[in-house]
Amino acid sequence: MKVMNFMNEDKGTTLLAGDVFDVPIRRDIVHRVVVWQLAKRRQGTHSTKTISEVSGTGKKPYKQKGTGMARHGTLRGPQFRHGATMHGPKPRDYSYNLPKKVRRLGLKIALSARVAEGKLLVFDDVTPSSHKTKEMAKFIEGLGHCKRVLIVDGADKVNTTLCRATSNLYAADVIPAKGLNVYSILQHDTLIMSLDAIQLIENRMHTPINR
Amino acid sequence: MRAWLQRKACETMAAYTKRQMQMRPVSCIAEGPTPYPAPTSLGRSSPTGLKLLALNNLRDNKGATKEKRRLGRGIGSGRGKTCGRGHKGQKARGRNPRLGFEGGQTPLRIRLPRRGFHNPFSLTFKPLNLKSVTESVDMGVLDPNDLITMKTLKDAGLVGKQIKDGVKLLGSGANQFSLPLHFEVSRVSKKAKAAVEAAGGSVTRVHYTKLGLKALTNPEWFAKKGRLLPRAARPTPKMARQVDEVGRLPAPMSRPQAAESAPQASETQES
Repeated sequence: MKVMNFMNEDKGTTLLAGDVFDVPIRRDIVHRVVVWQLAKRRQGTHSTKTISEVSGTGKKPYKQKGTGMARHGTLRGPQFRHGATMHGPKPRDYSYNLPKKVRRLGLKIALSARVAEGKLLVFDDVTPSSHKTKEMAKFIEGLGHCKRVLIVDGADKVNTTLCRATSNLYAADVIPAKGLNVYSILQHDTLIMSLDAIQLIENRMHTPINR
Repeated sequence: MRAWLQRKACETMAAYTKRQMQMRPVSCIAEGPTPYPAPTSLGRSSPTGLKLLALNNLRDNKGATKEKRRLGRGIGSGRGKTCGRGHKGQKARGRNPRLGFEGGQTPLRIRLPRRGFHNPFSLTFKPLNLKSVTESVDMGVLDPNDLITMKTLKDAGLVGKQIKDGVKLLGSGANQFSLPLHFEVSRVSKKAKAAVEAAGGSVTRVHYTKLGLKALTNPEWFAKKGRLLPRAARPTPKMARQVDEVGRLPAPMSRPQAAESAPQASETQES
């Protein structure tokens, strides 16, 4: 894998771990991971009132027989205007625990897919030379056929120059290596990773899952 | 709509073909990775359009999800109106009688006689046939040179994951049995014992309690808990008549006196 930097200088080559960057593509696993990611970020703050919560009395509106009207016990049943909602939504948590092995495999597949498409670029250092957004925009345009690029930095806090240069650009997003996830990779068609980031990801994939 | 039509009318043939060429998906993505992307242009294999993995081409496997049964949603669904409950009655109104109730008639479970008693001292042995032993030795799962204890059998997967009270060696496949193997199991059938000894091996019936079996097959559990391995327990007088010797802990690797294994086998045969 060719290593470069923002100047398009050739910084040599690096070897990517095959069991992380070259796994068979399994669409169904990536589908499950993406569905899980989107589900767990749902707010779930929808609420309706059941008949016990609708304000109003529970008194029988009029006598059972003799009025000529339909029989009713309450004026707040679901058939009524201002009445209750039957089986309506209540606030709930949509998250669930996807098996950790599936989550890990999904990340590997997403990375392998980008490698297979040729859309993974390795940079030795992801710090741009200037903080100007114009330079960054020009660089992204220079990449060609790239609608959105995800830049992955190795450090815990992404360096400020990079943040400043990309913050106002729709086409570029920056995350630290520990924030790398399948949905983000799929949202962006190109991936730029620093060597540190690649090392971190490979180490994380090689440590056994904590049970 | 009108703007679109006007645009279409103004397009020349050349422009139309150019637009078609751009829209045609490039399908050479899956033909192996392009290892070195050129610095100024990405993904020579797939400039635009079809991607190997994108948010719009994800789907789960066929059969992974099954549609829910939704009752009472119209005639066309096949489960409208009565929702599969038929007409009227107790069952239609969501009140079912308890399981086993037969409308007042004496239920089957009362009509039939009770039988037997439960013996709390009974022992359950896992069966092991000589046929399985020969097969696993042939496949290389079981080593014919080692002593075959209940631990080796469990590790080889011949008696499952739970050995209840021990293993009994049975004689299915005794006619084809010809390996000189030495067994240490809980019980053995007459036919199996004869076949093993005819082949030049030996069978010793050993006694293990349930705790002893745990220490035999899973000594790591004791180490993890910080406990010592228990001592091998002696059998009760009644059990002692059914076994030859007390099982040894930790798991033995070979018969105690290797040189005297043949006379020892004949001793146990006599006793």
